[in-house]
Amino acid sequence: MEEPAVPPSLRNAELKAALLLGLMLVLVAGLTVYLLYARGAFDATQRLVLTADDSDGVGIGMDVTFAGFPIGRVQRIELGQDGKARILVDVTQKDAHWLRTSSVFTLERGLVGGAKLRAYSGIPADPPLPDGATRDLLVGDMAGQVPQLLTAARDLLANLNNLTATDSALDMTLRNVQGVTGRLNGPGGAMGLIAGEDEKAQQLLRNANALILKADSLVGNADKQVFGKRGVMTDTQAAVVELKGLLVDARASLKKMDAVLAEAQAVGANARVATQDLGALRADVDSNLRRIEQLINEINRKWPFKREAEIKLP
Amino acid sequence: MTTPTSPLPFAAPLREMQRWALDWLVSWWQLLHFTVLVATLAFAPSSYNRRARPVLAREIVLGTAPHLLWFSLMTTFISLVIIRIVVVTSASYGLSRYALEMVVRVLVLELIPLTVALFVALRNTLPAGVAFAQQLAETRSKSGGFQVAHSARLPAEVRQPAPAPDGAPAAGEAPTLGEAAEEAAAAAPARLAEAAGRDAELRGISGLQREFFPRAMAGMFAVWLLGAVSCVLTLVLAYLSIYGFTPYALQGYTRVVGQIFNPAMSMILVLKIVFFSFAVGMIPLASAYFGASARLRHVHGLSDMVRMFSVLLLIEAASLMGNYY
Repeated sequence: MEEPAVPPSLRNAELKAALLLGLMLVLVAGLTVYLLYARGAFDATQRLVLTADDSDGVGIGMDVTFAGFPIGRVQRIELGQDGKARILVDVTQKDAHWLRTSSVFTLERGLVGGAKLRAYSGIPADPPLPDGATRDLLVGDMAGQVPQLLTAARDLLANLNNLTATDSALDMTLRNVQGVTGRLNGPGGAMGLIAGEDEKAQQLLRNANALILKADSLVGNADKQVFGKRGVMTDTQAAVVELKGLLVDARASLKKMDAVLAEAQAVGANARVATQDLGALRADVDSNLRRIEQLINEINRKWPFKREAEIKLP
Repeated sequence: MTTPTSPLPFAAPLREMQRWALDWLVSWWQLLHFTVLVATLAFAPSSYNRRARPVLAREIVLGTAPHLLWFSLMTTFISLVIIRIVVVTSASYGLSRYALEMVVRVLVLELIPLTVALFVALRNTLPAGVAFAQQLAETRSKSGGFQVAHSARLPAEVRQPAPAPDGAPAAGEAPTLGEAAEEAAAAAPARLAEAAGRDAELRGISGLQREFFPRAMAGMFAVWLLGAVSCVLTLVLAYLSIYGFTPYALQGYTRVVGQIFNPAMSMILVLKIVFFSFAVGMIPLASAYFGASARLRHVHGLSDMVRMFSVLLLIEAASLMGNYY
């Protein structure tokens, strides 16, 4: 067979083919390395074990986020000896310092979208989480609370139905209120409402009416007695005028009394002064008498004046 | 062929159906057979020796390089449109944080391999397969020797009719009447025997290696290369469309892509592209190798296309089941 002649337009076919082959290998190798890097094959990691009663919604490769930034990946989910789900998470070394021994881990399942694993660290001064640590996972399930909400809403609606049913107490009360207001708006008005249809009540009203009329006339008479021309008030007023006159006289006399008292006061003042002088006078007299006595005693010594009262018999 | 002797009225249609079913099964078996033969050749070192390398290189370059730029542009355009649609739709529902994941899953994992396979099939392997099969049919029907089929690939001005080994008229030249015809008629049995021999040789391993294997490899390589290029291009375009020309979203983007391409998904994607390449590369050539069965096909290329599309569909269904079932 003849050798196929390679036409000149494809002279470097082998080189070009080699280039194309190289391009494909570079692309494939680059993609592979990028995917390995994306899956964290080149990150140094430490292990964290999260335990939960129900790991529904957690998948392999899911992120564990801290403040919205992914710091770890779920590597495996298994069932532990105690029947709880164990979620093995690989946390990158360079982000592991955000997790402390007091960190809290939650699994949140919303109504839309998948589950989310979140980590919270409250006390940054606590020691960092060690490798291989086991922590409990707090599970928050929105969809699981919907049945409870529905039950509560159903109970509420049932109660509301009972409350507003046709023969319920509320209905009766409202119907009575309706009757009352109808009566209020009616021809009798409020009085008719209070009196009602009862004969005795109407009689009572009539009596009350008569009583009021009598009281009215009574009040008129009393008024005349008290405030009339010859009434009590007029006399009282005259008495008051007389009293006023008396009071004026009394005041005048008291003024005179006042002058008398002033004289008496002057007398008293003199008497006091005299009393004080009297005291001095007495003291004076007392001292004089004492001197006189001393004098007499001296004289007695010198010249006895003293008569013997006793007669001595021979 | 025995004439039907049964008096039953529906015997002839039944027999027709039987022949049709057998032909159909045989064609599928032949496809499988051809695939295994080419796979065997791919593992043989002699397929890549110095003699075979120029042909292989030529086929690869001719099958891939002209389409690279155009296909990249087409992929860019389609990817941008689809990414935009997905992003806007998800934003209108308030689910924009799922847009990236959806774009990567839909485009890179599903649409791009299918688009690559269809593109390579429609622009490269199907027309080439049809032209090659026609060349083979021509050379088989002609009493002359086997002509170099590679010349059919050249631009028209460079194409030179290769000289026939024993003076038979070259392709495209009508035989003259008279003496030449008598001469041809006289030498016909010998030439037919020679042509048959060459045809058998063509059917043999060397023919397979020389003619069929490079074309099949070129088709497969086109799918691999264009697939890799378009996957990378789509990933880059997804990032730029959603985040713009900023490097700060790269970390988050890398994380999402890493979560999507777990080992199972990546393996299924690679296998899908490989099987697509097998389908696209082999099916147009398989029927040419074994010769046409007149009963089944009217138009050579159309049946190949239908068969290839059905195989592509099967592979796609299998990959979807593997991913999401």
